[in-house]
Amino acid sequence: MAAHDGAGSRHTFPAAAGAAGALTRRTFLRAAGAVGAGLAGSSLLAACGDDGGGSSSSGGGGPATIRFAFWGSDDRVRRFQEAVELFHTEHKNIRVEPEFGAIDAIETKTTVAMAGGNLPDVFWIVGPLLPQLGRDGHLVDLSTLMGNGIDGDFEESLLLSGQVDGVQYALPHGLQSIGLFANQRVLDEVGVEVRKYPEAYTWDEYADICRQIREAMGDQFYGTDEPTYAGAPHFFRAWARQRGENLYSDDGDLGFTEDTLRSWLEYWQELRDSGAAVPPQLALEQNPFFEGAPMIRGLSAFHMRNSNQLLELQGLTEDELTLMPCPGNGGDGVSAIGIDPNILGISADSANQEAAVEFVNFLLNDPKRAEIVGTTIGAPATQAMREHILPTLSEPEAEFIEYIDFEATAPIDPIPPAPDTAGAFQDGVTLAMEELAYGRTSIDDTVAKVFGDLRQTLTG
Amino acid sequence: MATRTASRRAVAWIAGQGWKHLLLLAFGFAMLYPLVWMFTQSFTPNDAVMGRAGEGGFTLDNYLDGWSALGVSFGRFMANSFLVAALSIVGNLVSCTLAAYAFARLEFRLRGPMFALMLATIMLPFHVTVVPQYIVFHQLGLIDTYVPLILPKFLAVESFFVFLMVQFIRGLPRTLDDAAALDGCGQLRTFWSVILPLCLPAIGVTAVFTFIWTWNDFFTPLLYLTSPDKYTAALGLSTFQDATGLTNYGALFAMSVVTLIPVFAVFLVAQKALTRGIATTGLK
Repeated sequence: MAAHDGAGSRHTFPAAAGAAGALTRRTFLRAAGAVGAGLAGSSLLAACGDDGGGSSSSGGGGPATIRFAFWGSDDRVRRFQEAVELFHTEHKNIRVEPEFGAIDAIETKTTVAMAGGNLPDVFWIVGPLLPQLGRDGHLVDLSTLMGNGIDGDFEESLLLSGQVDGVQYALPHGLQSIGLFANQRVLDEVGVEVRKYPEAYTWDEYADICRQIREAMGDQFYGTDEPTYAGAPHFFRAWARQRGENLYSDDGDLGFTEDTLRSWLEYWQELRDSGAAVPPQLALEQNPFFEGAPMIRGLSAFHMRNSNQLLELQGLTEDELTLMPCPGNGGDGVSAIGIDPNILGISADSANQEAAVEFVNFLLNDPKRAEIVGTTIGAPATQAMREHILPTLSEPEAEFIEYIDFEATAPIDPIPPAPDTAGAFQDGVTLAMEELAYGRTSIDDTVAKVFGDLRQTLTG
Repeated sequence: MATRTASRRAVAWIAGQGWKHLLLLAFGFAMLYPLVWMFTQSFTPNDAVMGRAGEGGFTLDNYLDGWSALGVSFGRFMANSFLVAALSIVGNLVSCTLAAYAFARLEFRLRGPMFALMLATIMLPFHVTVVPQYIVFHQLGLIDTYVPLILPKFLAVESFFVFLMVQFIRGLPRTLDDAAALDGCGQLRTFWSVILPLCLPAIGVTAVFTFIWTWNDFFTPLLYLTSPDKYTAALGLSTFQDATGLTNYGALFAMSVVTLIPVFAVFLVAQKALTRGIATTGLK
């Protein structure tokens, strides 16, 4: 394949040689030489940009160099750079070269590097890429290394997230789940009680509370935003799991019934119609999360999103925020809880797998690295690490850790892994829900679309 | 009395020619507004950016934070971008002018089909070649160097510029070539002493656009550069807005402004050069 492509890129040369046909051979050679010299110069310059030690092999007994790719913006980048420095002081024989960027950029990069056989030694895996990475042999099977290089006591339910066809290709390194954020000031004003694990609102109670808030706070204020068109599919997954169903089935098909989807859409239709939920026109004026979340913009009491965002959200508002379980996930519904860990893996092409394993073990189990990184990518995946960092954390972070610790240790039903095509399917569903929220389609049409076209996208 | 005639004159001006000016002014403002907004936001404290509730005012913190926010100084990213852009310009100018001269002036077998083939590569979606190209550079051990960003420019793969120059050279009178031939010039001498000086406007356009395109290119550096100290400015900027965490808008806007400065400067300078090029060559 490579030789083939090499020939392809040489295609430009016959053209150049043809151009020279009318020139004398000697002048052409001189010109070609000049171009060649220019090229040599540029590769020299490229080499200068290399601050030494850039080679990824560990030749000559020098330190083993491994590449580590992760995503995040500046704050997280600084934390992980600090963690890597710490690792260097403890492991003089290993050099870690961090690579970073925004998550969508990293996803693109991983896809191309996967095709080109040049994956980083250790890297965070964008969820939808895991099945392909695993099945095509790009990842090291970590099960033999568990307890044998990689320590840590992982809950069975969490390990599942890194498995493809039963093989442990990836390990959880940061836990996150869905949660219900609330503005405590509004709850106090309206007189709504807070429910924490092991209890939670039921969905009916939640709808009542949202309507109550709407009545008490007036026309310009709503109870909740909607997870439907905002692209937070795991709230619907909770809805399905509370009915003994799931988002996906074990064989990669839809895991829920038409009735379940219809009841979900009717639930939100009712909340929209009664003014309990923020109208989509208003919610979608901005990206409906972080600074654009209706709760932060002073439009609603609740915000339905990822539980690990409590610290960031709290930083965006003067009002005190609190984190509650997703409706229906308390009491008898605890087994319906779902956790979606961030996962990492080791490239099967890595020339320094031992060093990579040591670094992964550091990322997962080093108490000091856990302190440095905090909850920026979710909670540490082992209870030992969570307990270790708890006293060092700010109040919102501690609230989140306690929240997710309950979920991680709860007896939850296994979650079938998302198929490779889940990303495209979810994008389609989010769009369909937006159409519905704007009133451009009916519930029946939306259900038909999900079970028609979109199911095709999923199952291929 | 005087004010009344003045206002009457203003009304007359608006009714006659003035409304066009006013319309253009309004349109210009609409186009500039996002830039102006970004510029002012870049001097606003981070917790008041994007209409957030925090205390307003004027600050330079965004620039100071953004410059060193990623562990590698943003100046390093800018220097890298300059290096890549400069070498890309050299590459494109050397290779595209030569290729264009051949297509426009030389007679050789299969010239027509080859020209068509080259044009076809303009139509070829970029994504088709990404993976094979990546594999080639990986096999050559050139990932995480600037070679994959620059080498293609020396091979005249930017067929848009080749096409641009071919069209330009075709517009030059053949009699100039003939005169040069009578004076004893070979092809290279004709190219260097006759065609190239007349091509200055096209060369200017190529240089400016190569600069802007490589400066703004995000995808190629993203794929081929892995160590942060080799990142270009575009890559550095994108790191400020990750969807899984808070975006550091203040730093993002500040560094966007910084990144725009070279592009703006190049445009200012190049504008003059382009017009001068056209005027002195006595074309059109």
